Amino acid sequence: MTTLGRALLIARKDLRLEFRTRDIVTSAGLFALLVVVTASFAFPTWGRGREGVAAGVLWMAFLFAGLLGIGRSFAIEKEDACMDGLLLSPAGSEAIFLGKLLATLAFTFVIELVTLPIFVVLLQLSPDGGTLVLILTALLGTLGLAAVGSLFAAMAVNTKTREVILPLLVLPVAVPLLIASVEATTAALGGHDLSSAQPWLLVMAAYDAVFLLVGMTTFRFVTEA
Amino acid sequence: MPATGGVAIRLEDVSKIFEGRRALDHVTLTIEAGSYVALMGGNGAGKTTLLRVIAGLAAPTLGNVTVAGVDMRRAGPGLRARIGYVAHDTMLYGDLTAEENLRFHARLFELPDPDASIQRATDAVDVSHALPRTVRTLSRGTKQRVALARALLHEPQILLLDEPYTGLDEAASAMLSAILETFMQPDTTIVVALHEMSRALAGPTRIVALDDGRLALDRPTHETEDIETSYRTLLATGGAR
Repeated sequence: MTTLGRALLIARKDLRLEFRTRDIVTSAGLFALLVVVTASFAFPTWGRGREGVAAGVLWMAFLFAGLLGIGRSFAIEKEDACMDGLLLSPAGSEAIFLGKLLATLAFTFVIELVTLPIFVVLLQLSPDGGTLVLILTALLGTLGLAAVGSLFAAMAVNTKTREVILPLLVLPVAVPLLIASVEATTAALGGHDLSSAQPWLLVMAAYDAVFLLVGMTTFRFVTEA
Repeated sequence: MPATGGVAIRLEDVSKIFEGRRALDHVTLTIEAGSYVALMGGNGAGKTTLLRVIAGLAAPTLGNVTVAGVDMRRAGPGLRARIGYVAHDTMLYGDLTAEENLRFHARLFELPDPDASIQRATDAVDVSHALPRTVRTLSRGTKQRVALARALLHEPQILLLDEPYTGLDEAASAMLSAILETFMQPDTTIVVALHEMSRALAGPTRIVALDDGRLALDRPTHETEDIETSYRTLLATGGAR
C-alpha cells in the first residue's frame, strides 16, 4: 500500500469516528456559524471596504473552527494512546500526518460549505466573477491551516493545556497564510477575477507546499516521546 | 528470525532522559529469540520506558537499540510488523466497535485476509463475542483482551506487554498466561513487565529487574530462591532511597 493509501485509511477511520460522534462538525461548525451570524449584524452591509472586513471575519471563523476540529481530532488519538497504535503500525509517520490532515480538510470543508453561503447572503455580498477565486482561496487556505495545525496539534496534544497551547503555537506561524487568504478573499468578494488575486494565491500555494513538506518530514520527531 | 545469530533484542548502554531525570540509566541487555523474559521493578523503575524504547515509540537519549538485527533508528515498516505491543492503555478507539478497531489495524498491517486474522486473534483470546460491541461499552478485562487480540493480529515475532494482568480477574489472568505460553515458539520472544514475583516465576524463563532506571538483576528463573531474596533486597533498597 502506498503512503497515500495508508493516509486515506487513517482519514476514513477519522471520518467514521466523526460520523458516529459528530463532535467536531457540531462544535466547530456552530462556532463558525455563530461568528458569521454575529458579524453580519455587527458590520455594515454597504459601503466601500466591507469586503475586507467580511474576509477578515470569515477567516477568523475558519481559523478558530479549524483549530477546534484539529485539536479534537488529535485528542481522540491521545485517548487510550491510539496514536501509539498508529506509530507501532507499518503506516509510517508521513501517512499518519497526511491521514490526519485529510480528515481535518474534510471536516473543515463541510463547515466552510455551510458557513460561506450563509455569510455571503447575510452580508449581501456578490462575488459573481470572484467565485473561482473564492473556491481556490478556501482550498489553499484550508490546506495550509490543516497542515500547520496538524503538525502543532501533535505537539500540543501531549501538554496539559493543549486547548490553549495550540492557538498560541499556530497563530504566529499562520500569519502569512492568513494575510494572503484575507487579501485573496477580499478580491474574490469584490468580484475580481483570478489575475488580481494570483500573487496571494501563489503565496498560499508556496506556504502549503512548505508546511506539507515540513509536516511529513518532522511528524515522527514531534510524536516521539 | 534475527539476522544477529539468535539475538532478538539488544540494548547497548541505553539511557533515556525525561526533563532532566534518567528514566533509563546505561542499560545494556541482550535478549535471545525464543526467550520469555519477565521485566520487574517497582513503580518508576523504568519498565514502561524500556518497553517503549524497544518498541520504537521512544528514542533513547544515549546508546543503541537493535531489534531483530535492525537499528531502531532505521526501523521501517518491515520491522514494525514483527513487533506486537500491549500497553497500559488499550490503543483502541472507544467509539468504534472491537471489530472496526481490529479491521482498521489489520488493514494498516496489510494483512492478506483480515477476516481470517481477526477470527484467529479473537478466538485465541476468547473475545469473539465482543466484536460487534463498541469498545467504550466493554469491561476493563474484555478491553484488555481485545487489545491483546490487536497486538497478536499480525502474528508478531516479538511481543512486548506492559503489566497486562492489571485489572484482570483470576480467570482472565489464567487465560492470559495460557495464551502467552501458547505464543512461545523457538523463534518468538516475549518481554512482559510485571509487578508480582509469583507471575514472573510461573512462565518466564528469565527475570530482568530495573531499579531507578538501572539494570539491577538478570537471572534465569530456575534460580528461584536466590532470585526472590535478591529481588526483595532490591525493592527494600529502592524503597529506602
